[in-house]
Amino acid sequence: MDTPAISTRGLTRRFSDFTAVDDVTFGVAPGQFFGFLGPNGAGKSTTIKMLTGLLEPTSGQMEILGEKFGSSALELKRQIGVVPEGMALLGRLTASEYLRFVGRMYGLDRATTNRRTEELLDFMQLANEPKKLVTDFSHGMQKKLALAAAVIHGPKVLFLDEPFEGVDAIAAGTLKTMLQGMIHRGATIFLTSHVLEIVERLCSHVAIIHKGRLVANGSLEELRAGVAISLGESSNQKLTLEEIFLNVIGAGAGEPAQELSWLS
Amino acid sequence: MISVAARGQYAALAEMRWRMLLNSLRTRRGNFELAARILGIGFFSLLGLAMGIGLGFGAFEFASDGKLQFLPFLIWPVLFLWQLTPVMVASFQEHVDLSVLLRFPVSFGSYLLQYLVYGLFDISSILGGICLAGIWTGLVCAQPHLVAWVTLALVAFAAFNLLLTRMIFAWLDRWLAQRRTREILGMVFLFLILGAQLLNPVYYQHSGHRSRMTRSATVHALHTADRVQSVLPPGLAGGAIHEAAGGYEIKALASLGGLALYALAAGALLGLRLRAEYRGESLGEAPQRVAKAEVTRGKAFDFAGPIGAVVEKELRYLARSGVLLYSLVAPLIMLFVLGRGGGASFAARYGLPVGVAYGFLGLTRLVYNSLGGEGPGIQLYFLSPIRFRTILLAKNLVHLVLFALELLVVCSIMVFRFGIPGTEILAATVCWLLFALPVQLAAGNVLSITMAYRMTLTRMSREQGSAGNGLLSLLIQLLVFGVGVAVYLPLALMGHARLAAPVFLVLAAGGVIAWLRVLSNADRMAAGRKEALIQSLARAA
Repeated sequence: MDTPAISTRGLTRRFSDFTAVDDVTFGVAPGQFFGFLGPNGAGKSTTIKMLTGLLEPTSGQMEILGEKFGSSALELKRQIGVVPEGMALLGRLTASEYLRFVGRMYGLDRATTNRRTEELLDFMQLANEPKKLVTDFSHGMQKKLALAAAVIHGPKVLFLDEPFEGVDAIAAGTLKTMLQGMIHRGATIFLTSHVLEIVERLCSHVAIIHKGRLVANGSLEELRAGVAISLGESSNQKLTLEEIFLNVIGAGAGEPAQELSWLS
Repeated sequence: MISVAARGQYAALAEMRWRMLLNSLRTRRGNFELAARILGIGFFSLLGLAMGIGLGFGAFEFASDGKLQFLPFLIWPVLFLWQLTPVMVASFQEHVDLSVLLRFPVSFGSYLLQYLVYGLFDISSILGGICLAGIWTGLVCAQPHLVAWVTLALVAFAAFNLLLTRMIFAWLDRWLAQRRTREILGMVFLFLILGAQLLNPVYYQHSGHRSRMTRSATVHALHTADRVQSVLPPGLAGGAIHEAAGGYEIKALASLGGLALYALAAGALLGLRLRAEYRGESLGEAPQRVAKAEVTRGKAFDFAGPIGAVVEKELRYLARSGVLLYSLVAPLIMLFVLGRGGGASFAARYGLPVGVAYGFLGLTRLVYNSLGGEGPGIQLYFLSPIRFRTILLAKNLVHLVLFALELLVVCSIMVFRFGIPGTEILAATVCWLLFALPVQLAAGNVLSITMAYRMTLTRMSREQGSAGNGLLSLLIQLLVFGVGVAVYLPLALMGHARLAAPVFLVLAAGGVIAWLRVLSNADRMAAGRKEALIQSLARAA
């Protein structure tokens, strides 16, 4: 059996009295497009931060490509790419300067860095703004640039925290094409997103975290079947990921939200 | 006068600042930050109090002796103090950025008022205010019947100073934010420094031949100077009081009117700037630069690897941040302005070491908060397969190059002004530098990791953490300078000044070891502070 690309066991992170991630255990197989879902404040970003070495877990274990962060942290970082919550951009550089900077930080030689920078800028349709500073980019352009920076060194595992947030349909299409291409070439992608339609279209496996605890994990079909059984429905009607999500976190069956009468 | 909505906004703003203060006290860092701020304000208040008492006694003497025509001699220094203090503290003291309020429905009047109210808490306003209070007390004690005129004149003068300082900084912010204006401003600064240097010998030449000047020429020159100063704000403020004391109320009112006109002009220029800001002016560089043809990339820094990458990035950031460039240049300007003090032999002997130590002030923020400009980019350093010591080493290389450039300018100024100092002091200065530089870099690296605060590179806006970091960095610089004094002076007094250089060399070895130790521990320190660093630098502004 292949070593999981990502695996966690009892992963926990506490901030004083608050437990953001509580005893989370899951595995992601190599080449899998894995969606990690949850409502706001559920612990998605905290989990990604721990998996990418930006945050120390309070307890539990995790391995990326069979390696633990620690003595082999530098080697491990060469194998992964990340679009973190804040995008990690350097606002006072241009897009090409930033990508060249990142490429060199990942140890690429200058020729490779330059070539990949130009290819990525063309692919992301950022090449026509050669002198614009990153800080002057729109949010969507910054997302595309952050993704370009995350893949410039050809990572085996890619962590994406809300890559489609604030991105228009055209840019989202570009990103999806690129991500699917990476999956076809054997990369593993771990993605968090609130855009459930995109997750449903891209991801083969999904985990749902709620209030820090993992409440569902499996392939889309497995989750669909599980929810259908719990609802007592026949499987003739295919449940959408949104329905699965709402059902799993228990938000679909309750009372409708109270209306705000003062809103005109 | 103030609308209910505006009052609500002021209350909300005050409450927000109060809550931020309370929340900051939850951490040890926040408590230290508050203590540093209180200490800083206390120190400057004491300084102002000492000056205020001196000025008060001077004003009392002038008023008691009926020599109020000399009042401008006391008021001019207040103007210089008020306007030059922000330049002096620019390297480590920043200002509150109120443009964040613009996303709320704040009226222009409220915005302007907030901008001025925050100005009241500037160090320069505190110092200037205390000095004027001293003058007011002296004058009123000596001639109580002038209380209304003195109050009117000094309040108008204070308002003018407040408006002028805020206006200067508002326009500086604007000019420093864009490359083209930044370059123009840079050239103006350069010509100012060079011009001032050329004027200086002329000044001394004239002062050397003063005895040969005829009495009538001297009197004529003084009269001309008096006529000019009498129509400038300090002259008008002093003139108003003097004329009121002489019973010339109309003339006094005219002087006050002139002063009010100056204040109005400063206020109008400030309003012009803030109005543009209020309307949503973008200070980004994109519009000017998009149309330009692509330039050949990166040839100037064609060295591979992460050190080269960080060095290149640091230089690009520096070139694009008017605020950082301004911080580098400000001490050089002050070096010229303050360089006149002291006797000629003292200045000739100690001018260079003092200038060199002072010149380092320009690098304070760059060295002691070297990660502050990264913003969310700090995460990249933790995500990339690079050791933190490599990043700090690359940054330190940039600091050394910048300091070498500052040193070149400082030495040129001091040598041109005072001549080449003696061999002993020169050797001691060079060897002290070999000690001071690694110590400063080591301390800077430690503070950059443990007390980083987010810097806004396009505006002079203060962020949480700047006071604590600023205070500590100044204390360390004073300590390093103090070591130099403590080693050199006793040896010089005992007639063994030559021994200072070898002593500094021994200390330099210790300094280098300390720097290397900090670098070798940088990864451990950064790992320990990782979450705090990301939280303080990558958080939303």
